[in-house]
Amino acid sequence: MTPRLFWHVCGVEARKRMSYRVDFWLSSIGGFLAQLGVAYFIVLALFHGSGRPTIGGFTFQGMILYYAAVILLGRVVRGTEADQTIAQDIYEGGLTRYLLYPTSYTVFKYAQNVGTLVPALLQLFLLGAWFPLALGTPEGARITGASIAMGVGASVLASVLYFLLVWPIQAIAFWADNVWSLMLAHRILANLMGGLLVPLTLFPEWAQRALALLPFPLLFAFPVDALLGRLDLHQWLKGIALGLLWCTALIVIGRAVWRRGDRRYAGVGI
Amino acid sequence: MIDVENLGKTFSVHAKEPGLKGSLKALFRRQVVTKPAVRDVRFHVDEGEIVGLVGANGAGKTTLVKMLAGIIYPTAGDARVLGFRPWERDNRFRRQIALIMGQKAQLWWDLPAEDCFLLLKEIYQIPQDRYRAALDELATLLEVRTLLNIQIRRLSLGERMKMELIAALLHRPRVVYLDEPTIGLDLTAQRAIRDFILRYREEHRPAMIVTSHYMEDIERLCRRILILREGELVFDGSLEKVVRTYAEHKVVTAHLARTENGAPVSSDVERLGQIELCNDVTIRLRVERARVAEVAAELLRRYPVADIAIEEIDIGTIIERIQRARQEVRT
Amino acid sequence: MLRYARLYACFVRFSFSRAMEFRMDFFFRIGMDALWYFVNLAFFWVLYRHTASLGGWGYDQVLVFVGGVFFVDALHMTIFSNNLWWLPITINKGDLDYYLVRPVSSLFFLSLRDFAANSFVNLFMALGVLAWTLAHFPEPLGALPVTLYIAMLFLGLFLYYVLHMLFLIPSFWMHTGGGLREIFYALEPYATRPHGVFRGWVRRILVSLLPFALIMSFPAQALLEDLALPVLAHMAGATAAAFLLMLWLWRRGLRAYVSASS
Repeated sequence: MTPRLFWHVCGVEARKRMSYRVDFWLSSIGGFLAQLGVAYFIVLALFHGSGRPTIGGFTFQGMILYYAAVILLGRVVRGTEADQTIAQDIYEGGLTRYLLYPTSYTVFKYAQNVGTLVPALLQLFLLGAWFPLALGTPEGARITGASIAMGVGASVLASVLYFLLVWPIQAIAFWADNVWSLMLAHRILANLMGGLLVPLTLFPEWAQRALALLPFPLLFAFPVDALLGRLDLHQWLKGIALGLLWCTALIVIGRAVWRRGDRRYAGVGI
Repeated sequence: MIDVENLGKTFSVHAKEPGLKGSLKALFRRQVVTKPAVRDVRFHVDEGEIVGLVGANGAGKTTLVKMLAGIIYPTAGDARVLGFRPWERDNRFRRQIALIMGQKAQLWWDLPAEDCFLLLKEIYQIPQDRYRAALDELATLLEVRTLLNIQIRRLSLGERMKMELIAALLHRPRVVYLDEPTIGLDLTAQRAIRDFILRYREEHRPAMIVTSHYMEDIERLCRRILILREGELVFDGSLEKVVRTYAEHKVVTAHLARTENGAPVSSDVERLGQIELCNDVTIRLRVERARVAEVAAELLRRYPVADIAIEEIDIGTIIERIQRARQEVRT
Repeated sequence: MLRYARLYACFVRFSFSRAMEFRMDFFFRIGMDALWYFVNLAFFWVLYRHTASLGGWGYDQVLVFVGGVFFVDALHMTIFSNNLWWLPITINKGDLDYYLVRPVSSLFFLSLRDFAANSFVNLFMALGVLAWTLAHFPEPLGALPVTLYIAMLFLGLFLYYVLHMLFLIPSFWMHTGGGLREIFYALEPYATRPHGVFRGWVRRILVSLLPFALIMSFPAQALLEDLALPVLAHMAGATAAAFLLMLWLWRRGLRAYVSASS
């Protein structure tokens, strides 16, 4: 696929998303506030209950900032509503159209996915910019030009990695009639292991060591830590290298699954 | 351009006993039934040729077309289209073919047609001048120039089908598959699309395979037809040949004048030919070609005939009969 | 009444039959729910490594609460969730006509027709966790309070359904139900976290205007803090009020639907 086509597909998809009505924007901003609200009260109760000034390396403000960043950035990494489209293409026959095109279906879908990120990106800027201003930069966090650059790099990797994790799961739709539960299972697992539910530094030592080998922390905790200046260059490079390794492995797995599934594709109806 | 050698495709489907018990059983063990959709098909299509692919529902038409477009893999045999194996999906192959399915929209619903076309321009990497020329030509021929900026979902079914045709032909494919291109359309739209396909063929001479349930599509577009029955190719030849080979009968219809004698006795009529209709105003018989004159004379002599007509059996009926026939009619 | 029971039995049978057609999904869904239970338990386990109490709730108390959360969630998933997921779509597509012509309450039909047979298995899993957390509780819990707890969880389930419906019924007027539905999903954590953590006006809203805290936290509180009577009265009153509001809105919604469609 040429870069020109990639951006063209992104643009088409982004325009579609941006034309959403007011209620889409209200619900996504309302959803963010509701989500952050729960996190705020849990963190408040946690610090109140423990009586300690820092937990897992976070001050109270630092942890609130973490949650705000991870909720907003999590939406960018995931894309909006793009979770199910590959499986849907498979069992509703939409794949047929793409198989005719002289271009890669997977890259095409990823380009569409990037297009759907635009509203989430805008929310990240509009809502996210307030927090460092309102909370100051809490202890342990240092947002600088370098940290933003590392955060962007880590986010791009996270976005590709998330897509590559979802891709083979969706390809199971070649065999199963419905992969909705599998997708949800992946989502639930990634929430916990990626650091969306609880900052990973709150986990016991052994769990943190095990998680460090898995792809999930690279999805949410890693880009947020990079963005907030909690990583040095060495840690960042290590994360990127691990991420690339996982991407390669997932491409191999995804291709194998896809190749086998493809032969079963009947394009709905005989 | 299209060479098909002993091509076959078998699907396996699950069967389940009815009721809750059957469901529970199926949860752990399922019966698999194999269903051959296409068997041992071979044929050849040349440049500029439009071939009609006919068959009842489930005869395997769409499966065959999908294999030739590279969407599904065959389970037996081989095929070459433009020198490529379709299911290997070489980009050089995909740039030269198009598939249009009347039953399934391929364009993006939320976008105006021209946005879709621009995306296709990028997908097929069509140079700007060639894109402009192709779009102008196609939109003019199909009379949709004024509709290009309207969201697809707001177009009528006929207009949408025209947009699908443009989308499929923008990159000037050398092989075109049309699967039920006129399904669901009104007569005017059907005619417009048929005329367009014929003109397009005159100018660009692609190889085309058309499937349709409307006999008029087949009669107007194709000189040659392929008939599929239960996945097997049972006829490959010209339309005239179908009539010559299979229309051994003609239909003789006599309209009777009113008399007091009542309806003709059917056992008497039966001796003249196969009865299609027999009452006190009409006798319609299917008669062997050689006996037509004799039967007509007999009817005139015996009954108070007011008017008499002798007609060929229409081609749709012949094809339908071939599709249903049990015995092998391969030629 | 008997007629409706028979009809419901029919829904259940039909749903089982259909669920087994999608057998991979059947197993996936069991696995997915088990994972959801695991993640919720892990969430609290991690937090309680750093504190002895969250908003006044100790770890053992939270476990009893979580058992109730699973139980109510499994019932909701089994009985209502599929139906409610489709409701705004059905309304916006104009597919309601099909239900309005039947001689059966449309509310009954649309809330209950799709019994989720594949979640049914998870109900046993949730029951298991609930039984385990109750048995595991360090102080002995009497049979009567436990029975009352289960009864209140059913009341909580009903309130959950009613609240969910209140967020969906506006689809009659809004023509896209998606936004409010998303907000309901975003608010669900306010029910599945012990309400002791919420403070100030947020807490006051959660026990009155948007009574999410009543669904799962109140039953647990009644059991653990021996406040059965006032808590039960609060819960029953709020549920009744929300239910009446829902019925009223549903009727107005149907009227709007009928007069809007041609």
